[in-house]
Amino acid sequence: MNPGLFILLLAALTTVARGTDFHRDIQPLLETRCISCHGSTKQKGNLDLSTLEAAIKGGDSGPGITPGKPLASELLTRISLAHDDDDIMPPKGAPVSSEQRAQLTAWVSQGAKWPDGIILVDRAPEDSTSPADAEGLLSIAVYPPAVSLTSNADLQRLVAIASYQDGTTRDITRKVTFKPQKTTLVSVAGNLLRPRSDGETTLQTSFHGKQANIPIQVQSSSEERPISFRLDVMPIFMRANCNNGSCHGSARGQDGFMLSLFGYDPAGDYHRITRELTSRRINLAIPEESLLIEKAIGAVPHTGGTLFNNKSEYYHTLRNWLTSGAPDDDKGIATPVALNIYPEQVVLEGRGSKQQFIAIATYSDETTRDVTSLAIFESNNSPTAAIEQDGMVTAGNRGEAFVMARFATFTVGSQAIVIPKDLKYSQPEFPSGNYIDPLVAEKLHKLRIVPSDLCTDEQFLRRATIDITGTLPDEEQFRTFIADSSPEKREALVDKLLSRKEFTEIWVMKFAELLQIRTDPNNQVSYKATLLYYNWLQERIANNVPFNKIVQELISSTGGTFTNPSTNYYQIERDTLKLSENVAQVFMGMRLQCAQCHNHPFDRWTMDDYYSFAAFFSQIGRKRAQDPREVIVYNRSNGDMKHPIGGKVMEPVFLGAEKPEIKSGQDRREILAEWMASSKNPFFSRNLANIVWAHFFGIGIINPVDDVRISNPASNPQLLDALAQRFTDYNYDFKRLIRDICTSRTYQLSTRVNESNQGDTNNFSHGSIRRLRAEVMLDAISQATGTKNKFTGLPLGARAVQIADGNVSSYFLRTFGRAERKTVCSCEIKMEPNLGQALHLINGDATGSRITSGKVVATMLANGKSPEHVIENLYIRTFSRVPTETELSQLLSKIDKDPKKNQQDLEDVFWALLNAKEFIFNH
Amino acid sequence: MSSGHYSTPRNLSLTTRQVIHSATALPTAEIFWDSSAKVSKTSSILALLLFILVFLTPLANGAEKVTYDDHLRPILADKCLSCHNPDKAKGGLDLSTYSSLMQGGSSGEIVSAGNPESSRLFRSVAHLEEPFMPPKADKLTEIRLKLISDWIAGGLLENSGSKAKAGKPAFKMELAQPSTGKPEGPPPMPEHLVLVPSVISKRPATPSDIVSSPWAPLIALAVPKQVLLYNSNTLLLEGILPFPEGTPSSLAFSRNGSLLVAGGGRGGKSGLVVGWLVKTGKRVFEIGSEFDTVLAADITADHQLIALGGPGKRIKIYSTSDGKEVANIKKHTDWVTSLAFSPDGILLATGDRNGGLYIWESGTANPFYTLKAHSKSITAISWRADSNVVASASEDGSTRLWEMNEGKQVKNWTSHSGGVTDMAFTADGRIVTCGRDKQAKVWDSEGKQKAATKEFSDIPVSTCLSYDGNHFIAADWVGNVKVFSSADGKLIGNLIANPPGLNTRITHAQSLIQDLTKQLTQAGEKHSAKVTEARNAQDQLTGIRSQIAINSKQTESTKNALAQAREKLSLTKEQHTVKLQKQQGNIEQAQKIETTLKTTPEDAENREKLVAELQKARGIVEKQGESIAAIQSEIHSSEKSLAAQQQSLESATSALNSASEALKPAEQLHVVKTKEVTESQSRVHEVERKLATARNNEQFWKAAVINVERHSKLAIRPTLESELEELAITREEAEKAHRLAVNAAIEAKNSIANAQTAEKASLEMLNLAKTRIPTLEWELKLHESIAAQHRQAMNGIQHTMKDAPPAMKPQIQAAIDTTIKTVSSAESQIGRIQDIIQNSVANAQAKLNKVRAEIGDLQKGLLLRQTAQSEAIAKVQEATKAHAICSEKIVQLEKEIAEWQKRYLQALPTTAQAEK
Repeated sequence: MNPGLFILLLAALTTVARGTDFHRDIQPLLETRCISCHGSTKQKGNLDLSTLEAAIKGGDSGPGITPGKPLASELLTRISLAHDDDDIMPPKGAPVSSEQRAQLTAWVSQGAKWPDGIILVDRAPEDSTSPADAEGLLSIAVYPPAVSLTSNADLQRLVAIASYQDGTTRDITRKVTFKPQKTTLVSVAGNLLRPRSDGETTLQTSFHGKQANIPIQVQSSSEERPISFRLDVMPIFMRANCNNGSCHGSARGQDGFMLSLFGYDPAGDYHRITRELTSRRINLAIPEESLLIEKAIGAVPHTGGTLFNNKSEYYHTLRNWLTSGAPDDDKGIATPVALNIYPEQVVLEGRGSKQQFIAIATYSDETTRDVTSLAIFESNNSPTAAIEQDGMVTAGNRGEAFVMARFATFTVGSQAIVIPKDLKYSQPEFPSGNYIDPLVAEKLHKLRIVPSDLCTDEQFLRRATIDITGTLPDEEQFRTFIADSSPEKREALVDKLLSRKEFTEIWVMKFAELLQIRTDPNNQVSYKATLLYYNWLQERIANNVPFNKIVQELISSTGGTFTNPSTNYYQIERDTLKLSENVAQVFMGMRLQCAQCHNHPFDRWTMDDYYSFAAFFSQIGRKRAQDPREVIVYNRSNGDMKHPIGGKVMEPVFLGAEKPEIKSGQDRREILAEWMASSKNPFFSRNLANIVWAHFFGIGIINPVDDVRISNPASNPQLLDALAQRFTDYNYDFKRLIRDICTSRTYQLSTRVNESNQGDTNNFSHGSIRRLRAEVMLDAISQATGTKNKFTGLPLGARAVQIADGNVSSYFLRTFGRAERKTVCSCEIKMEPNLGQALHLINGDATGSRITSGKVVATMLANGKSPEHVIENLYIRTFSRVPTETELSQLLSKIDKDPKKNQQDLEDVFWALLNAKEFIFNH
Repeated sequence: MSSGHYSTPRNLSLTTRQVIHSATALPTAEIFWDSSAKVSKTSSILALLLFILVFLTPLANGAEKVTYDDHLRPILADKCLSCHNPDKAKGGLDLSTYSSLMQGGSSGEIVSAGNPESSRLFRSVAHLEEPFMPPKADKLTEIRLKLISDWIAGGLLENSGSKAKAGKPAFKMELAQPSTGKPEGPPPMPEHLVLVPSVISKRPATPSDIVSSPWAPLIALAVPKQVLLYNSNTLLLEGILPFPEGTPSSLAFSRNGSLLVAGGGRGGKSGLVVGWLVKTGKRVFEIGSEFDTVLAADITADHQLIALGGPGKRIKIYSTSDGKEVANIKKHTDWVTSLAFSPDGILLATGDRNGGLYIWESGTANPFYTLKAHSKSITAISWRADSNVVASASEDGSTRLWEMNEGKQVKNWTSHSGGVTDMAFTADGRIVTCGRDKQAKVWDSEGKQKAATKEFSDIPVSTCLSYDGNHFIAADWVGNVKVFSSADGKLIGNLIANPPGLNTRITHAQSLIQDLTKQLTQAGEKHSAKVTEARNAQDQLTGIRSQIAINSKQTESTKNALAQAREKLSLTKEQHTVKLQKQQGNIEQAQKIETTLKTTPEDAENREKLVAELQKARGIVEKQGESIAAIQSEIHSSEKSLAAQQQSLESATSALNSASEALKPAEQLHVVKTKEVTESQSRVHEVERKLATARNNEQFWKAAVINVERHSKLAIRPTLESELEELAITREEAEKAHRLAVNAAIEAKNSIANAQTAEKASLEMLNLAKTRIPTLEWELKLHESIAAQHRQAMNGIQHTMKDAPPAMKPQIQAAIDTTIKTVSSAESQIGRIQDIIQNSVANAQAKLNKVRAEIGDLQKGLLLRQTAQSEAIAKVQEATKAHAICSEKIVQLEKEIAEWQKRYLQALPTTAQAEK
């Protein structure tokens, strides 16, 4: 026994005289300090203090409270430990004051009188509702927007948030009292709403003079809803991670027991649990001794560990299901049809501030259920907003996060922005170039980020020229542009660059990557076919054919691979499933691969969606042409796509949209093509706009660009929508879209960061520093050194961006991560710098020998240029700027004064410039 | 309560008992051994103070040693052994035995004696070092961590030493003669086993196995925590064998039917094989210590070997004589789901969850055959009685037969689409299977279907044929256990997989009795009412009949009278007619006369005559007329009375008719009532019979309660007996010790006597030495004087030598030498005597002292031995007493057992007694 407790006992004796009151002294203490961990929702150490019975029963360390016996009450022991003891309770915050301890001890000594029916709930301390809460208060809101309770065991968690003038929100759930108008209909314990009798009423909430009312509807309040395998039991497997890929969800199961990954096969799971090994996993006579339960609660050794305890909701659900005979669901059981997460958006101020989120599922019978305890909560940016499994978000670093709830086949998200507390911030001036800028500015304002200044003319010239044409500006272009004093000169430059043929080549290259244009002897794609295919693409882009037309032509292409080269698309990938995955990934930015074998864990796509979409490609026919190298792709008019579970024939359905009407014999691809590249497809223009945007900023609004999913949301959805809209309005002419992007202020921002935007990576508050991609870099080196390249199948002096066949490459291109076009993944292009690249530039023939063979310095010297002149020229060649005074003087000091001997020194300068970061990166 | 699904009762007690079974439904599952003591809630200041005192007392005093066997092993078994066991040995570490723990894992030793903080075992469980153990689970409780730490700190004790016992053989039951055939004498059946369920549950569990004794009408049914024994003829519960270790998943009768073997345990935690004697229900062995449940187990015909398998993928063969593992076969790539020894015990067939099927030599565990064909889990393996054919069934839906000469598949048929869940051979070569098509089927040895059941409501999971092959039994997933006729697959009855408790049975029997008594009263009342009704009907019928008799008599007499009257009337009428004719004649006569008269003049003489004649004629006519009139009126009145009589006849007839009409319904009513009486009578009899059965049942279950007492006494007996055995050993040891002590005492006495003799001798020596001293002193003097004289003489001779001529010198020298020799001899004599004088007494004294000391010691020793002797006597007495008390206890117990036995047998209903 610790001495502290003994003293406490003495102190308690003095308190006895004064008397203690449960409501006044005990309830507030327990509710504010203990219940958050030891209540009905969470039982750390298996202890629940929300009722006297539970408190007496105690947890792992013994009875929490023993009425009349303070010394046998673990609660008192633990709060009386030394403040540095590991086991002291509460573990966080100040220790319980000696006065409170004395009161508690006295109360326990007097028999721990607990008024009937009181269930303690987690509450914020009284003093936390300070007048500061009223300051700048705009409104309050209570979630969910409407409550519907439909069985006697139904329950609804409530969340209340307050919005303030400065745009921030605060979680006031624990500070408000929820008052139903008719108390006979529902009971409220803290933020938990339970049904009492049928009817409709309103839940009233007020906070510092602001009101929020939500409707409540109670139905079938006396009916017990039987435990359903699909609706109650299966979600536990997901929530407790039983059916994930590393556990029983793996293809072969785990330790002899398999569940379908994320529950794609409920009937199979029911079979495996109940009837595969008929008496092993469940015990209908003694349900609590079922292996299913004993493993989960760790009563017997479990490789997956203890997943929940025997007081948890999950345990009760499983046990009750088994007690009722482990029944399967009726055929017509309601299925989840929607999921919502509340609140929809929060702006948290200051590290450590918290916000509760709740998840509500809607079912096909129009009932709703609070699934907060069954959903899986995740955050895409935990350092900013970490979310616990009960839906509680804790603010961390400044930034933005997307917190998600996953339940059944649904994933939904909510935006959480975290800003530092007491930030000195006022919205900066941000003159807009076009529609893009206000959208970017608004987002930055939300995050309290001040954007960088405009970049210099030199920087803009280099940046735009590289981005748009893949070339470096030459000295003449440089001088002209710098000398130009027109205020419109940047727009003029963009227009000029867009009209160059190099612009076309860049985009032909980019799309050639996405269409995987490459020779493939295995799939009968000859060099001739490849070249024809490449030329087909180049011709269309060069002629400014609207992009939707190109895609439609491609997807619906029929005929010989030589006569109609776009059919090569169906030769390069012949596997139907892979092909449909590629189409989704390239033209809609979606990775459907997961849904081939199970419902997508982080997105909305189910196996049904997958195979319905793949059904568009199930009737492709291929046959030999006269030329043995040619293949004819045609519509076979028959062929079905079958669901792998159950073998149902899947009708073609647009991804995330309606089912089209297709007549027998009609080419399914034509139907798809028409929808795919049109405004009816919500993903098409957004995806392309995003791809274009990513080219100019190094990062997509959705990033990676081909991983569009609910759990990877756009960093600026409004911006993406605006771009997509414009792209559609421009009739899919991306040249115009690029003009918009390049003339926006956002594109022209300097890469130099300030204090507020240094951590920003995806809100475009400053210019991004990007390594030149492999082809552009090689071309840039060639251009700067005045040398020529030779690639297979191309004339001497061709540029790397012009390579038609993905299989043609060089050591340099491979080292710098050129896409091999083996997959459609945007990850094929590797932009990460590595040691090989650095060594190749320093030691390889990429620079040294080219400097010599290109004779740039030699020619200039031969033409009688002075070293100063040569250096300035080299700077413009490589960095698109003139050297600074310091640079020039320092360099000149190293150069041999004898004009006949200085060539080597100047070439060394050239080498140094080519190896400088300023050359290798676009900035 | 519904008994509608029962088939036609084969005998009464059967049905009623079944009714009782099915009617029992407890509100919640109740587990017998879970009786947690309730803490009393008294509180007072005193208690508080006491508590403080206790609380403040250091616990360390007298702390017992922490050892591997007593403390560590349970913690390890609970938390660690599922991975660190000899089969899995994650990280090369096996913690299941002391020695393997000491050996450590792949990365070396895991404990360092006396130093928990540097022991890997402690560091990883205390989360001081990665990897934290157990993985993904909460840290062990502080108490457990402390025990581990204390164990390491305490020097890694294996066990407490004093408790180390010589290993007892696990199984002491050798078969007099290994038999593969039918045992001699009556086939083993349970005799008065306990019928108390280990678990009472509302819902039956899915039975995990059903097997039949090869020689007796006995079915064993495995359900969680117990094995239920049912009679396959009467369908009555014969016994319950508790299996507190978990769920028995696999059952097997030994070849001679005397033993039942169950493999099972707790999934993911522990497994073993348990053996019981069928006759007494005595648990005779527990073999194996698995880390997951045992899924398959069997015993050889000679009871020498046990084989088991389970999720560990190993087949382990144990010897029953010492419980040791004799083979550990690592071949299966998935869980071992089924295994069976051949009836001759030579071969062992094993199957796994992946369809792997192997045959082994059971003695050597050498591979014999690999049987490849099944594509999914093997669910059952069964041998034909001659050991030449083995059958296997699988989730792939097929049943396959394999011959053992070359290991070839000889038959193969799809017995249940979707999968076979169980299969068994019978002695006559038939096969029974059940499967996921929800049917159970009987096949002949060629795989030809002979009988099939109707569809079960759920998947039948286990099946067997009765010993005589007349019945087959199948249990489905929801716990219905049905008995069918093998001939046609018709349902015969049901067995209960979740038997209710005895009290429930009694209560139910009593309420049934109450109910039946009430019914009997009602039936009796009804019966008497019916009797009355019948009697009434009878009376009524009799009344009607007598009425009819009267009526018909009356009718008859009326008819007779009427006939007579009619006759008379017709006579009268005839007479009348005659008279009328006569009258006519008369009238005619008179008219003739009158006519004659008219024609006759008035004066004629004969006128007068005529007139007179006329007058006479008229008189005649008149007279006649009068007579006619009289007759007429007579006719008239006759007719009237005839009419009246007619009427009365009519009414009599109609009375008769109506009476006759009433007769039929009355007769019918009578028949009905009579029938009803018979019915109500038989109803009364039926209820009486039922009541008798119910009473019989009540009595039976009450007797079963008494039997529980008897068994609780019986259960004490082995303990007492082994106690007695130990006490006998103790007594023997004490006696032996006593004997030793006595001998030692005698020995000590002897030693003392010897020592005393030695003392006497020493004393004598001393005295002798002392008496010799004066003589010696004289002797000394003699030698001294000799020496002195010779020295003098020598001096003289030496002196002479100086002057002596050289020729003399050698002679003189010789004389000198002789003298010197004499001197030195004398001197040595002097030394010797001096020595004797100086030492002999002291030596003798010392020896005496030593001997005396020895005597003292010996006497002390004797005293000790005498004490030991008396202690040994006390111990012997004590042990003898304890032994006597214990034997007395046993005698007492035997008496009690006999008493309970008597009470039980008396309590048993006579029919049951007869059955037994």
